[in-house]
Amino acid sequence: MKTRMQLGMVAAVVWLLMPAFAGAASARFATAEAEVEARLGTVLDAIYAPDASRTLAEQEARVRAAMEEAFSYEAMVRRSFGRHWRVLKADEQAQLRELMVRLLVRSYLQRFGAGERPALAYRPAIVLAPGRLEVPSTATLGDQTFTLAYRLLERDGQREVYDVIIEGVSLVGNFREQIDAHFQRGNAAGLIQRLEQQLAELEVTASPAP
Amino acid sequence: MNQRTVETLAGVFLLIGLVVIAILAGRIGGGLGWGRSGYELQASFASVAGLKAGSRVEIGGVRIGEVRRLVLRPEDFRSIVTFTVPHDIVLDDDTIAAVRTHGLLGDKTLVLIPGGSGVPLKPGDLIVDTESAVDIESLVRRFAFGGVGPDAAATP
Repeated sequence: MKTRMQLGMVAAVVWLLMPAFAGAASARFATAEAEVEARLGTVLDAIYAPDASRTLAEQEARVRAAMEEAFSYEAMVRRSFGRHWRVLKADEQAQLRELMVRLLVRSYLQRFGAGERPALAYRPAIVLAPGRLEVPSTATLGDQTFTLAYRLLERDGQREVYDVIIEGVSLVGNFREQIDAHFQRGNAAGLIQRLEQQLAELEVTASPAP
Repeated sequence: MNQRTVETLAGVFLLIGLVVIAILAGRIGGGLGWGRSGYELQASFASVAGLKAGSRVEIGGVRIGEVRRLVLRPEDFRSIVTFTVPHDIVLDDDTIAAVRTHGLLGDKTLVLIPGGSGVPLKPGDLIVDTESAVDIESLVRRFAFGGVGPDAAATP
């Protein structure tokens, strides 16, 4: 059970940290692994900075600000929705993107904000195909070590993370299958409602993280 | 009706019967068979343990094709799987290919999770967004002996 919880925690961390890098400045990093490490480190610092005086809302705002400075969630959300993304209206896309990010930040902070910070180690990037890279890494929590791999697109000197493989399982693939299952019997309005409900439930049960 | 005519008719019926059985076998098996043409795609994996030529290729639990070949790419030791897809199924280039198991110890299957980039894969294209086969034995070892060692941090 402990292992499962820790794996869940790692999944939450990397899901929160997997978005595409905001366009600028990939060139200043010598390697893909250095860029992943630096950008993810910034957000981890915001998440794990200990400050018991902050409310959950303040912590959310702080983490969100750090994420938005370093990342863009567009590619991640778009890939998770797969073919359904193109049939959504622009306002539905915006709503769903916002809800997914808020839900991830809140659920992460509520469940794991007070937990131990995972130690991440990165290995040299592997070229999967022209313009496609994979940065293997490990996350260590207590006595457990998990394998992670960040998949990146490289175009015109810019890199963006588009998926994370945790213990061999693709996060985008996992989300895509769940979203696809929803659209087999529901629509965008139903998904928006479901995410809003989940967000509201977390708000009710949330308490300030220490 | 003379003896020669009877023998000829029997031979024709036997031939028709064999053809029908072959077609039915192809249809029931879900392979491409006659009347359903397909194209080949490739996928690159760190491990395809348990997958073999003839394994099912599925989308949403429905068999749409089969694995044709598995070869090792010597420059980076990745496994390249060649498989068939019917012509009427168009997959985008952000499709994810995963090696999954039917049940706990069932046969390995190549599962495709279609994307939505709007850029279709062409025959012979390589899918690099993949999930490798999960090694049940290593999972058992992990639960039996606790955390994984440094060598488990090898390329996923």
